[in-house]
Amino acid sequence: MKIEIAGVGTTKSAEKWELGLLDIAIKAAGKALKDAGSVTPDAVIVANALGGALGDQQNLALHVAGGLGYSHAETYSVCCDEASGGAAVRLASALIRSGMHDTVLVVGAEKTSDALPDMLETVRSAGLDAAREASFGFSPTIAGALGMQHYLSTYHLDKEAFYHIARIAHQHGSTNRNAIFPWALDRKQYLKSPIVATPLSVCDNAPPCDGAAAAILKKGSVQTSNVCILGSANTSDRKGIVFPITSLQLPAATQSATMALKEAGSQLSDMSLMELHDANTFLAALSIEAVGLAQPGKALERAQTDDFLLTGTMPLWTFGGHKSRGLAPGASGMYQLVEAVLELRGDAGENQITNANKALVQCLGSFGAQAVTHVLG
Amino acid sequence: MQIAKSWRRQPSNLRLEGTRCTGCGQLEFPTVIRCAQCGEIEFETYQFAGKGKVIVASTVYEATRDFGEHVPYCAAIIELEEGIHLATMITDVDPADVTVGMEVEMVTRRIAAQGDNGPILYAYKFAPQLQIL
Amino acid sequence: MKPNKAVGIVGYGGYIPRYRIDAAEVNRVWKDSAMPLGRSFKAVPGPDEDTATIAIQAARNAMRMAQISPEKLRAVWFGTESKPYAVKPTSTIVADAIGALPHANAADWEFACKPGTEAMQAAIAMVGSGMAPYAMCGGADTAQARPGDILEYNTGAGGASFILGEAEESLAILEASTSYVTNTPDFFRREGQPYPSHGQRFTGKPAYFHHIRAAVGELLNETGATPESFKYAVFHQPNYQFPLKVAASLGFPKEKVEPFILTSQIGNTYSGAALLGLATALDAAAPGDKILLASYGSGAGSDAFSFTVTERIEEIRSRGVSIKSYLNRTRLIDYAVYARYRGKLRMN
Ligand SMILES: [Zn+2]
Repeated sequence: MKIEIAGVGTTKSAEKWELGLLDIAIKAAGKALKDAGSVTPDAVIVANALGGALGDQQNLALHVAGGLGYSHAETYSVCCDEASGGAAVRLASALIRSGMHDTVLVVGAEKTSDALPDMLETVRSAGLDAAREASFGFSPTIAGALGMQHYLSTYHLDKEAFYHIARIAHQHGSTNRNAIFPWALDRKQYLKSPIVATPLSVCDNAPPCDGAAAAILKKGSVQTSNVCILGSANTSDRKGIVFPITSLQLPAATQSATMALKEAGSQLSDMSLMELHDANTFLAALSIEAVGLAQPGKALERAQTDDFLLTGTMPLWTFGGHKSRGLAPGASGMYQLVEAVLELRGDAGENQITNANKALVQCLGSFGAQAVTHVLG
Repeated sequence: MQIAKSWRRQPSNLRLEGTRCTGCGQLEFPTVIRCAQCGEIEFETYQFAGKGKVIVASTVYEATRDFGEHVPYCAAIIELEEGIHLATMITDVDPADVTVGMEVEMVTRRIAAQGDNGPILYAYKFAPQLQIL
Repeated sequence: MKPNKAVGIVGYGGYIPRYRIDAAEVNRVWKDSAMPLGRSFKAVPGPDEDTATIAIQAARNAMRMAQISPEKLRAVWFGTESKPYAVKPTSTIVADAIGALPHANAADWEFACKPGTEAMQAAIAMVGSGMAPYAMCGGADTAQARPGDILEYNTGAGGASFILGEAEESLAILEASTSYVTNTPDFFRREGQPYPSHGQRFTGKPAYFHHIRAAVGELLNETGATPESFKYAVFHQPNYQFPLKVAASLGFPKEKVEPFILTSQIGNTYSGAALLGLATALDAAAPGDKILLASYGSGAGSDAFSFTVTERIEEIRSRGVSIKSYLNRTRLIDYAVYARYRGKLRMN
């Protein structure tokens, strides 16, 4: 059964001091509902990674449904770290495919600016192994730094090689009015950026921000002109930060992409664009290799070419990725999905690529131990 | 780091106790409830020797809550003699002097304290092997 | 005093943190006239160290030397005046770390700088009475001093641990021990206060000198020994001069005392001081040597001990970690880093 995406909406990724978690979720939902025309969803699924841990609204989906004025909706809140958005879409698809519901509203929302930075990083760390890693001060950022260091020494590269990941994202984000940092990043800026944990600097990390993105999923009609979900997969692998750092592999990302492509009956080369998980430049490089866009150790070499630009053979991070658009952890997968839909619909404005036909979007949770991939077309 | 949470981890935190699966012999640190390799639920306590080598290290300048007082510190992945990979901090050395392959041994340190009134978490870190004279 | 059953030391170990600050660096900041003569340094605990972690490492080193099963320890007793928890024993943390729990007595001892030797007397009694095959005692401190106080020049950090067992297994056998205790308020820290107060020159003659002289005098009387009987003599070492001066007044020549005064290298480690001195003497001792130990704790009292080193020392000692290993491991820091590591910067 086809599932179509009947409407999408996002809020600007920013520090939204005047709005709360529930507010931005409802705002994005409202935009998606407006985009879809007059629909009333049977179910509301909300992806959110950190709200409960930050002392914000729990059981968020119930409150979003209430805020939208629905009195009979089935609601679920999905909490899968930075893979929450993808996982929520997958759950919505399952509800529709099973025949339980025809129309499901999926919202991803995260409010990071209410927490002080060290608290935010602490709560983000809880998605790692809490006993072995988080309670010893390890965070996704520190894991990214260790991975980056191991990547550089294994493949005999200089830190500068990672610049190109950030460069591409920022170049694309520079024309995205919804991006938190909509500017191009030059090499000097990148190299001068303060070190967070050697060798990873501020410019390697996607900036946490407040954001929400939403989509209306519907049981697909045969003659629909809407973008459809052609394939999807949600895969887990060894938990913990040690494996990706030491092996420089993301088996979950590889398997999830392979399964989603298979379901879609597509090849990697059929994709017109990809949205991969660039929470930091290290995970971005491993993602590129995991889905098969580069051999192990070659992601940064390929990133130096024009291949991943909007005008290239395989555009990545078409609206700036998490790196430039901003990282709203639990909503990140939904941003990716919405951005890919806009590309496929031809509604991407200045960020529009030509001949957008199919897209692969993949979000990673718990430092790559979980991967959710959707193939759209 | 609530009180009971650090209390129940004391055997692994203070003594590096892990488990050895009675089914397949798999070693795990810290302890596990069910063997991920073979499904066994009976384990022997396994005492890790506390010696290892650095695989990769990073100097951390921005820490999570409760760790700010230690920056800059060295975060690392090490390989224990028994083959287990472990994320740990390396102490008693200037972070920039930590090298890949450096031999390290377990020490017990004050990992973090919850404010001025909360419990103190004592647990393992690793330090360069002491040169015994 | 002496137990019915002969008792001795079956293992010992010390620990000294890696960081050092030069007394001249302290003087650079405070510019007072109290700087000790001669070049001197003190050991500073790292930001992740405290009395518990120091005691744990000393205990581990003692266990490494003794090679006994931790379940056979019936007591783990540590003395300190810088407990990480005001209420909650440090000794249970130490005992847990070395695997000695739950069938052991664990308690913290407090008597300014001499709780470790009190615990040693109790450990001797416990083993000597047949209640326990082994008992561990020790002392450790991250010594406190008010910034700018004369104490700040040499309040160090470190500790040592001793395992007492039957004489036949020992590297040194106890001959006798005495205690001399009075109610003398020469140095104290009130509840809830971060830094101790002291009576300046009152800490000398009526306090340190009087008590050590009395305890050692009694020990010599009791055993019939003379200063000539001893190869080495270790005294509590709040600074470099006091132990030399008390030794001279008792008739011990400088060369028997001076090698074990660690104050110019690590400062005064309070509860660790006399015990680290004893460990250093044992590191140097040969079979047949007699060693005198005299602690001092303000408040006030002194415990004196006489040990005779056995034939087993070389074999047992070779399994351990020498104090020199830690004396040679140093990283110099300035006053700013010292202030940060010692929590002297107000953060909250
Ligand atoms: Zn097994």
